[in-house]
Amino acid sequence: MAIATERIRRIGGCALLVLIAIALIGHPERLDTSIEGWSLHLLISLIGPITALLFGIWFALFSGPIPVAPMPRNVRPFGFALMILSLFWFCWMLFESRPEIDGTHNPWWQHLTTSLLTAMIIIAGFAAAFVLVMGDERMKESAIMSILSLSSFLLLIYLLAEGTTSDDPVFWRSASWGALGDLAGMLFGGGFALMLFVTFVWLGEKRMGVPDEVEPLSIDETTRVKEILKENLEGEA
Amino acid sequence: MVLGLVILVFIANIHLEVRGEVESVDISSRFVHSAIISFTMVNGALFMITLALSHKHAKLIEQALGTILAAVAGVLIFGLLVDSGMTVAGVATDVWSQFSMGGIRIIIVGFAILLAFGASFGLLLTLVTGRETPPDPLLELESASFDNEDE
Repeated sequence: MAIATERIRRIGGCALLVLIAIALIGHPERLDTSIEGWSLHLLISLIGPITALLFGIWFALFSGPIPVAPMPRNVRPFGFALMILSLFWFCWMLFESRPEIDGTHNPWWQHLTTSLLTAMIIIAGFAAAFVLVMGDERMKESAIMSILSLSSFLLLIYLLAEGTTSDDPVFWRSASWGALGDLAGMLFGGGFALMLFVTFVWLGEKRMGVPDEVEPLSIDETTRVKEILKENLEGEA
Repeated sequence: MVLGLVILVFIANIHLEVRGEVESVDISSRFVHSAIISFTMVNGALFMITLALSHKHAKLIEQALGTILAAVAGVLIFGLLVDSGMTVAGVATDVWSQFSMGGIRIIIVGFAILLAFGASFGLLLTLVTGRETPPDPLLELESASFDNEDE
């Protein structure tokens, strides 16, 4: 609703968004008192590495040889440095500083990490294949994407085998096993919902029927059209 | 390669579960719960998008009615499954607790997928656009110069 073209509806959507934000900010209890609060805490904990990643991509992308909104060329290494910082920040959180509140670890951390690594294996792997098939001699880019995919796989296997300082491997195994079920379920359920939606659109189009025949122009309309054509075509012949 | 890696992760987990090294995680319940909750959430989101895009000339009754009914059907089926005993371990066994916990789990997985997409394709876009190419020789030619004596 917040992006609707109609003004009243857009205002209603924005008002709803503001109310949701107020409800979140004005929540009277601590984040560690509910499982929903913990999920919000997890997102807040990841603001640092995500911001570094996004700024890194932005700097490196727009300081390259592109014609759109270019930045100075010497900013590009800084962009890549920010991306590497983001990676190290995430690894530091993973191995040394798991998100916590007053000594209580965030219960969603392992679920997010195993889902992220599994998704990274799939997405970076397909990106490597995509750039190799569609691109023009993109061997280097494909190799980097493959390395990203394989590194995520090895990191996930390491977590399953060795765990981290704060968590025994058995918890990582359970989280990974559950995340696989969730990912497969999401793929199936979400895909089925989209297929159903396409069916509804098709049914709607089918029921719409053939539009009525358009009446031929009346004498007045024909005269008017001729006048307009004459005005516009005068002098071109 | 990608499918091979995912299958390897599956095999590693199955192997560990058979050896009893994994806490009891009923993957089939997780799969079914995630599928139904995803189905409900996607239909709910599509219903809201349909409402946001509707106007007096649009005939979206099939879409609106279909998506809301599908979302309601998803909730009903989920309730029936939970009442019949198909629950996820570690959560209270009432329908709302199971649904809300499943919903948060799916939102977090969705966030992880979004993050993986952003990181992978952001890096890929950066690398792809970073290639230096020689300038196009056509750009050095004069444009709209019809006074060339050779013609």
